[in-house]
Amino acid sequence: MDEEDNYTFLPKELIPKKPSYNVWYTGTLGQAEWLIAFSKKLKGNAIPFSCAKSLSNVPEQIRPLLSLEQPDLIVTDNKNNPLISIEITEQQAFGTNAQQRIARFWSSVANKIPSAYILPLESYQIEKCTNTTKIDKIMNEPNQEKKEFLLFCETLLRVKGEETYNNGITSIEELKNKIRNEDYEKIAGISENSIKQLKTFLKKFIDGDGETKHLVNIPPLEYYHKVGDTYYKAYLRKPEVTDSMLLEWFNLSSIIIPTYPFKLQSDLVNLFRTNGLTHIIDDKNNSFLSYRNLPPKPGQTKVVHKFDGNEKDEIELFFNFVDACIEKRFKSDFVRKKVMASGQYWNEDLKEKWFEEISKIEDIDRIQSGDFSCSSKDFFEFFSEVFENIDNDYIKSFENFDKLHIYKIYNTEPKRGLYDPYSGNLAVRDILFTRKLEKNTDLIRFDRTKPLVFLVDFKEKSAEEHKFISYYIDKLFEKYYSGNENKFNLQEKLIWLLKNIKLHQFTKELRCHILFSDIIFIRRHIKDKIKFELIFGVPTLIRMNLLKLTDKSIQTLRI
Amino acid sequence: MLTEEHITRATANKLAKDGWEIIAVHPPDGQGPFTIPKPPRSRNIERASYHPDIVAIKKDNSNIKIILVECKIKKSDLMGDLEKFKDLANNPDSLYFICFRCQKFDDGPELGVDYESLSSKNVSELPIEFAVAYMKDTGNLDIPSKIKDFKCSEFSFSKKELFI
Repeated sequence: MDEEDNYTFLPKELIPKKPSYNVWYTGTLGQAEWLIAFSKKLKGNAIPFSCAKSLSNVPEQIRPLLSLEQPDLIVTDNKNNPLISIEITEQQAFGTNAQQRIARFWSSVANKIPSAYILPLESYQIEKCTNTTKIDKIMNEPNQEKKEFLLFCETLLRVKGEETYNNGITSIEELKNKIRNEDYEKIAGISENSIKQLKTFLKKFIDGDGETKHLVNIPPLEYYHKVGDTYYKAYLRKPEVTDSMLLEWFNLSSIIIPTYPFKLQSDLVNLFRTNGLTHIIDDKNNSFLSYRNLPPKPGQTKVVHKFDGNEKDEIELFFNFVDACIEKRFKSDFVRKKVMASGQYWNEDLKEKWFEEISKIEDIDRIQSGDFSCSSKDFFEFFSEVFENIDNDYIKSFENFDKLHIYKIYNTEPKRGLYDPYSGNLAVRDILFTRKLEKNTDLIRFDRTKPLVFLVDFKEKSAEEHKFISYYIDKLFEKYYSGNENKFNLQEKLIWLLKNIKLHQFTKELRCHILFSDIIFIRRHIKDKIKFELIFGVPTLIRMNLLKLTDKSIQTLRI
Repeated sequence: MLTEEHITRATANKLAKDGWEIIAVHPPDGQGPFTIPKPPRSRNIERASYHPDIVAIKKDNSNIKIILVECKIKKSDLMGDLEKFKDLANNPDSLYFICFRCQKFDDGPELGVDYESLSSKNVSELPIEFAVAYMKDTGNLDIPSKIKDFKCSEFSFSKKELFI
């Protein structure tokens, strides 16, 4: 190979003449080469290939894994049979964005291909502050000990420092002891309920107790910084509700096939430079990996999961998992079960916040967005006006379900598409709330225990202008159907498309939405009236036999 | 096949050989860990924040310098990057933020600026430099030696140097 034509930075001795494996990448070449360099199975036996943007130029065997979204890396044998799918992200999951990449793992689980997600389960963040009056007061406090105490309280979120100080708790150690003893009376802002959470925070992030070594809390004096005229705060972001759903998603999916998250480790030393993230900067032994912003190498970061006799860091465990997947042996769980399940990164009580069980359907309008479980009968009765013009067979297909899961969102910006994060969020709900998973579950059959309703409220400008979803169905139908369009209503157009085009040919604006939702239910709040739109998605259509598992779109989900 | 990543890596290697400590590298199409909030109303920085291709720091006698580098294969494609530098140079908050990210603190990195003292200095005194990097003989573009108050330099590499 001529040096100039060399598409890889791998040294010659690592480029096999007859590769046993291929590493397909959609992210960066560096990630593919990092994977090859540290996997015992891939090193010297694999070469990286860039995945073409158009799926028709990608090997047929891996297309189903890319049909919903594209994972960063797919390792295949030399005949392109997939062995593992991998995603690497440096940004910590946050709020609704926490789950946005999950659809790419769903495709792997559906095809029983193992996958790994390297992500920061905890991280340091640097953010602009708004409440500058309060911060100014703290930063200008002349008593240095009091200032440090007040800043320490700021790192504990709910604790009101000034009031606590005035209540007689005046030192950090005194406050810590009060928290350890759950003596919350003089800690302003803390109640009987929240003292337990505060105690857990202290234990995990300040005292460093427990089998999992969590990130170290921000030192008080590094919490606020004035940059120009703006205050920034450096804080520790720990897993919350949406992250707990994500970890449980991996936990449940692993019933079918190992689908494991691995923690990308941060270090306080890099707090301001890279928000704490550790990278390979200059690797003397693998100079081709230097200066490419790659994740750490095995053994570079500290061991954070000290249970079940584990002495390896997360990246070493990740590579052990990759090699096990290549060899198709899954005897070990690489200490993932404890990482995913409640206990280490999230507490069981967070489950109560995943969705609200409502007895009155009207309660879905108490909040703008969220998850609800409600009686199917009540739902159809409440919206009977909307359903009265619908073929009754559709409604009947819900008769066997006592409950529905409603995922409600709202949108006020017509230009803000509904693909990210909702494509991933729907994939999360598909696994978490609508099925009973067993080892042999075939996800693509969509055997529901509880149908999923994607309820979209368009308000303000979006009520009149947002294009989701009929515009996208019409546009696709126009593109692919050559006969007389007038004889089809929107639902029939969708069915025709699902029967005649590949799933990846559906644009991202609707692809996951029609796949995971039993019903897509849109309310356009225009002035004093509500205009409804309704379409039934793949799970309903399969259940009603209007769509078969052999139909084109569904078939293209399978390897 | 030559990519922008060849330029980025060659530049980082050169900087490291010249005694710079590489803080962060933003590979093409990749994620960049060193982010600077976008100056208000900047038309030259498309994203919400600016991610330089390379950020490095160096102790030069008793002074500490920070360098931001933008890389392109073709010199003639660097116009947009120079505009980004101009935006930054005209935005004190962004320049202070760069120093803030490179600060020394307890339990922090060995090499870093004293942000507290820098934050009270005039913006023109901040120890920031800009640089662009490209492959030799790839078009013409005037690279200024200064952008506002800050030094601007250039690195160029022959094809041979890029494939080492």
